[in-house]
Amino acid sequence: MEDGRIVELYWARSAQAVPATDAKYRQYCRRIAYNILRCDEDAEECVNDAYLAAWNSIPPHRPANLSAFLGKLTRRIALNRLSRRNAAKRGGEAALSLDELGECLPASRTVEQEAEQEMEGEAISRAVSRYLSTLSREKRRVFVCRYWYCYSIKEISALFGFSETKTANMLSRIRSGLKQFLEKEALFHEFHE
Amino acid sequence: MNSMSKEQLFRAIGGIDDALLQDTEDFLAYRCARRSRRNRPARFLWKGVGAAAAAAACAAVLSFPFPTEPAASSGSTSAPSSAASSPAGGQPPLSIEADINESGAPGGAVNQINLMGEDFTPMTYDELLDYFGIALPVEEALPGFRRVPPEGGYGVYRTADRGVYYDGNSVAFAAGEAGKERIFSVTLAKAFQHPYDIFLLSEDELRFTELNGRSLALFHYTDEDGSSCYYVEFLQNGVGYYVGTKNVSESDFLRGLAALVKASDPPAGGTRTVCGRVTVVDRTAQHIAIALEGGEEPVSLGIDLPPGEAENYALGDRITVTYTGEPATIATLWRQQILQIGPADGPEA
Repeated sequence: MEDGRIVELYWARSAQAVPATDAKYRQYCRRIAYNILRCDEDAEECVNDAYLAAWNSIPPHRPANLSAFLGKLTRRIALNRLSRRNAAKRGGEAALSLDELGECLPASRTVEQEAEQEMEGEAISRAVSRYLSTLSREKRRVFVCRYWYCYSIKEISALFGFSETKTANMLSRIRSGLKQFLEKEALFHEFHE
Repeated sequence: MNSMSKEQLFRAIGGIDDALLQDTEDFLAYRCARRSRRNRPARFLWKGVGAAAAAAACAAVLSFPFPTEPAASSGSTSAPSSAASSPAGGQPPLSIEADINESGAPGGAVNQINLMGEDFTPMTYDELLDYFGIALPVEEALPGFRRVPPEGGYGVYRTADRGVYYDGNSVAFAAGEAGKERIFSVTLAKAFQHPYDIFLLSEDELRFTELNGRSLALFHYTDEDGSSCYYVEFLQNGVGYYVGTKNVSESDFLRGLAALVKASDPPAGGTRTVCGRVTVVDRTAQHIAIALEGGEEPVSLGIDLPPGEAENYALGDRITVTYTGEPATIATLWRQQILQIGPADGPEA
């Protein structure tokens, strides 16, 4: 089914919207989630969460590129799950408690901070896009495979027919270029771990 | 902005331009389709049809809903198939050299057409065969198999103004005891077809089996029950045949299939060349369709292209395509079977 038709199903609040999405994009979303989480079960849950997020956001959204829209939703949900998992591993209950304390912060302050962070994030996204546009198509694809799709160096090397050394060196140079670009764009003065 | 964390940057990368993502996704799809010895997506439309009488508007779903037991997977083979393994025995040996494509279980297909119950016109089995103008000599080819009438009966959906708008009917033949049936199913359709999306091949090439002078792409997969399944689809005299089996041996699959496929003269040189005008360009799916000249069957042919190729075509372009085998799925050429494609020379037919 073409994407426009699927989007129309969401707008019509049709029960066929999610099945149609699943039929077309399950493997795509699952690949994104699995690359980040490296766990079948978590990846499956993540994909289902992405479908729910799509249902809740269309409407009002009417994505022009449905695959990119779903991919970004899936990636964000997978990263959130990964953060929670890592937080739990690092600090166990203490780290989770710290997260919970965030709920005690005044709502207005949290919302403002979140909004500011979101605006910063969008500015960074646009800057990264501008930087990637300056790269060759091959380097651009390698960067997206590593930092958007989270493929390993080994997997990227196999996809592009490179040695792992070549892939690692290419990414190192791309990261260095990105850092210079972001500094030039005055997007950050410090870079924290 | 004075400070940025690694996580912030990592998350922000998630918001890069859709066009950058799409370019990489197209590249990944193309590369994955060309890698050997691993499952990868191959774009094609697996058009399967399930038909059920309904009392109200419903969505029909393709399925082979028969109880099964895990059966030994036959795996891919290029060895000549010989004597039938059906219990009846006494069958003449087959002389078909099967070259079967091993694949993953296909994803589910959902019929996107609403079927109104009041439009259903029931048919007897004989009336159904008359409607399609065919015979199904499966029981003759596979002694021991018996036709299993569907629950809702056979029939088509029609209205006075649209005529027949849905005629998908599955005719199932089964053998063996309950719980261990072997199923040979033939789904027929000519008015409407159902698209599947992704079908995973385990090899990076598409293989064809010569059967009664026709080169058909045959598939084998193991379904989620662990059952060994075979599948093929082809067009014959305007009727789409979607043949699927479950727990049936390769030789029985071939024997039943051979009874359905009408003999045809193979094309010279084993390739076909068609000419037509582009009627569909889908740059996201890297898929075009052409209206064929010369009154050939099918009238329209879908063509899956390598990434980036669809940009070379526009509606109305007249092109020539040379390919091997028959369209791997009904009215759709897979990328692997295209030998040459480009602007057409010479006058229109």
